Amino acid sequence: MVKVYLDHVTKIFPPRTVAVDDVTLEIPEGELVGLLGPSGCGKTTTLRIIAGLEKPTKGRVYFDDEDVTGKEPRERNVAMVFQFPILYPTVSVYENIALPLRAEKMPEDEVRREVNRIAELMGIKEYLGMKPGRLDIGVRQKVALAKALIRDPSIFILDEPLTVIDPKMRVELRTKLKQIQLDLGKSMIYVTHDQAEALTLAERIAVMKDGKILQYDVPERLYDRPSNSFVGWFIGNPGMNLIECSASVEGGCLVMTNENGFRYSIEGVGEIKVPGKVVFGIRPEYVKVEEGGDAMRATCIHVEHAGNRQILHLQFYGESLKAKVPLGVRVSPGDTVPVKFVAEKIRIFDPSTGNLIL
Amino acid sequence: MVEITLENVSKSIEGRPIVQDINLTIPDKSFFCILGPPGSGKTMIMRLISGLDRPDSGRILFDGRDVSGLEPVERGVAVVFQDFALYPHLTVYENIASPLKVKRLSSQEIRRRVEEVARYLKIHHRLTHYPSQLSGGERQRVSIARALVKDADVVILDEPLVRLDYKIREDMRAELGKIQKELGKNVILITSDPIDALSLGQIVAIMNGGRDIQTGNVHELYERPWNLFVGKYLGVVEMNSIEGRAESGGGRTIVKTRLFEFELLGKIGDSGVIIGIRPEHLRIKELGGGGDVEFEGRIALTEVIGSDTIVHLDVGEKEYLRVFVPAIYKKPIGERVKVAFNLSDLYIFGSDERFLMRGGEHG
Repeated sequence: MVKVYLDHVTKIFPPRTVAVDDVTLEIPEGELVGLLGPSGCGKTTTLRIIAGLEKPTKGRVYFDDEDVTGKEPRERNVAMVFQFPILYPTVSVYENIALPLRAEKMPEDEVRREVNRIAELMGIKEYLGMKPGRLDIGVRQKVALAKALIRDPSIFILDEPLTVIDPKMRVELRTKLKQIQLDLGKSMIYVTHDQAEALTLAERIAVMKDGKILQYDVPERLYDRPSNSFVGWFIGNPGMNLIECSASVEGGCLVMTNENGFRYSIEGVGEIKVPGKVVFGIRPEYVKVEEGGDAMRATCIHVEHAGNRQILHLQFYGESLKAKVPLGVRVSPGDTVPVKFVAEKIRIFDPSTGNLIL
Repeated sequence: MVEITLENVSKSIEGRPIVQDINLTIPDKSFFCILGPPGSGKTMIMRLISGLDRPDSGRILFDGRDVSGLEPVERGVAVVFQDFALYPHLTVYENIASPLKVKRLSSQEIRRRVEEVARYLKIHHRLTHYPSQLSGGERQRVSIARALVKDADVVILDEPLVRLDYKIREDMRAELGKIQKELGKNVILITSDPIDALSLGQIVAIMNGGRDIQTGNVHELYERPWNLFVGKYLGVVEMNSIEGRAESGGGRTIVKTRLFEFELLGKIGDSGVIIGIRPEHLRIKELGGGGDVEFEGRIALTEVIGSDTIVHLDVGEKEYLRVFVPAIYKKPIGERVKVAFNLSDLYIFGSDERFLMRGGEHG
C-alpha cells in the first residue's frame, strides 16, 4: 500500500483546455478517497494521471516518496475498474480472474487457491465456470473487481464502477467494496458524479469543479461547513439554498438586503470585512415554516412529497427557496407561509469566488 | 379540453401481449402520472394515446369521441420523448418551429409563437444555438418548448427526467408542475421513478406486468396501498417486508415474526401475514428514536445519500432491512444497533399480498 501525493498538478489538453488546474492532493495509505464533481470537472483526468494513463503538463506525482511522474501504468502497480467491466468474453470467469496470476507465472495449485479465495470474497463462486457474456452486468462488474483485487496492487482506482448497475445490486456492491476496503486496508480512489456513492464509501472526499479541488474533507464537514457555495449546493438533496444580496457591516452586525424587500441581519460578527454583495446560504432542512416574531413571508409554488417529509418550493423576495418540512405542515400551492431560519446554520459566501466568509 | 378514456384496450407485438384489457380514465386538466417498472407497458399506453400505435382491441375516447382510427396529428397530442429527439443540424429556433412549419402558418406567426414559448421556458437567449451547445437541462426545455408550441390539448412526457443529472432534476420537477398549472393543459407523465409520481402526480395510475393498472390519489396510495407491490414501489426508499403469522385467542390477535411480536387491534383469523414497515418509520434508538416495538440488527452499510442516510440492517438469515435517517449517520459495518417503530405506522398485508389494514386500525 502506498500514499499518493499530487504536487501542483496541471493538465492542459491542446490547444488550451485546462482539465486539471493546479491540484495538490494527498491520499493517505489505506484510505478510501472520493473524487466527486459534475461531468467535465476534471475528476477522471486526475484519476488517469494517478494511474499513469495521462502525463501531467505541470507538477509531479509521488507514490510514497518515489516520483512516478514519468512511469508507465504497469510500473506503478495500479489496478483499475471502469464503468463498464472489461473482461475477455471467450474465456471463463475463472480464467479471467486467473489471468493476472498466470502472467506472474504462479504455480497452478496456488492460482486455484487464490481464485477460489477471491471468488468466495466477491460471492461469485457459482459463476466461475461460465463465460462473462452470459452474465448480468452486475455480476460482470464483480468479476472485474475480483480480477483487480487478486493482483494485490499498490492502489485501486475505481472510475464510476457502479453507475450502470441496477439499484439493488448497487447497494450490494457498495457494501462489498466498503467491506473489502476495511478488511484489506487498501488505498482506493473512487471517482463519481453521484454524491450518495462518494458520501457512503469515502472517508474523505475531494469536491472538484472546473479542474480545481474546492474542498477536501470528511462528509460531515462538506455538509455542515462547505468551504464554497458550489459544495453547499452540490452536496445534499436538495442542495443548499443560495440567495445573492447586498451586504454591509454596522457595529458588529451584518445586514443583508435585496431590492425585493429581503432583509436579514446577523449580530456579533465583529469587525469582519465583507464585499458589497454576498451569497446567503441555508440548507432546506434549516428553513422552518413557523410563525413567530421575526418570521418572514414566502409564497408556495409547489409541494413535493418526500417520504415522511415534504419539500416546499417557495417564492421568497424574488428568489426561489426550498424548505424541507414535516408532513404535518399543511401547505398548498398559492399559500402564503411564514419562514424562519436556524440562525447557526446560515453560511455566508463571497459571490465572486464562492468562498465561505462566515 | 379533453378527458381521455381507454376501454378494454389490448395490444400485442409479435404475438407477445404488451398491455391487456386496460381500462383507464384521465381527467381533463390534470397532472396525471403513469408509473410502472420497466416492461410494465406504460410506454405502450403513451403510444396508444398519442396514436403512434393502434390497439388490437378496445377503444380510445377523447371526450367520449372514439379516436382509435385517427392519426397522431389529428388527435391534438404532443409528446416529449426521453431522448429529447432534437434535430442536431437545426438551431434551437428551428427545432421549436418545426411542428409549425407543417401547419402552413405565416412566418411572423411562427416567430411570435416560438419566441413566446421560448421566453416562457427561459431559453430565448439560446434560440440561435445548436442542441450540441446546450446543457442537458436546456435541451430538455427545447424539447418541451417544441411540444408546447403546437398548443396541443394533451402533452405527454415520456420519462422526461431520466437522462438529466440528478441536480437538474431537483428543479425540473417543480417546473413541470408549474407549467401544467399555468397552462391548464392535460399533462401525462410516464415514469418509472416513484419520486416523480410522489412529487408531481395528483392522480397516479400504477402499472404492473401490462395487465394490472389501478388509479388513485398518490397520497392516499402512500397511506393505503392496494397491495404489497404498490406499497414497495410507491415510496422514497423501498418498504421493508417481514413475514409473520397472526394467531388469535382469548379475544386478542397476536402477530409473531422472526424479529418481534405485537398485538394487532384489528381482527384477522389465524393466517400468514406480511408486515410492511417503511424505512422512514424505523427509528434508531441511539439517535433518540423510540417506539412501541424494538428489535436489533447489525449494520451492513450506512448509505449516505446527501442530507440523509439509508442504514442497511442485517437481521440474519440473509435478510436486510432499510432504515431512513434524516441526517448524515456513519457507523462501522458489523456494529449492533437497536431500532424501534410505532404500531400505527405498520402496513398489514395478507399472505396473498393484498392490503388488509394499518397497524393502528381496528379494521
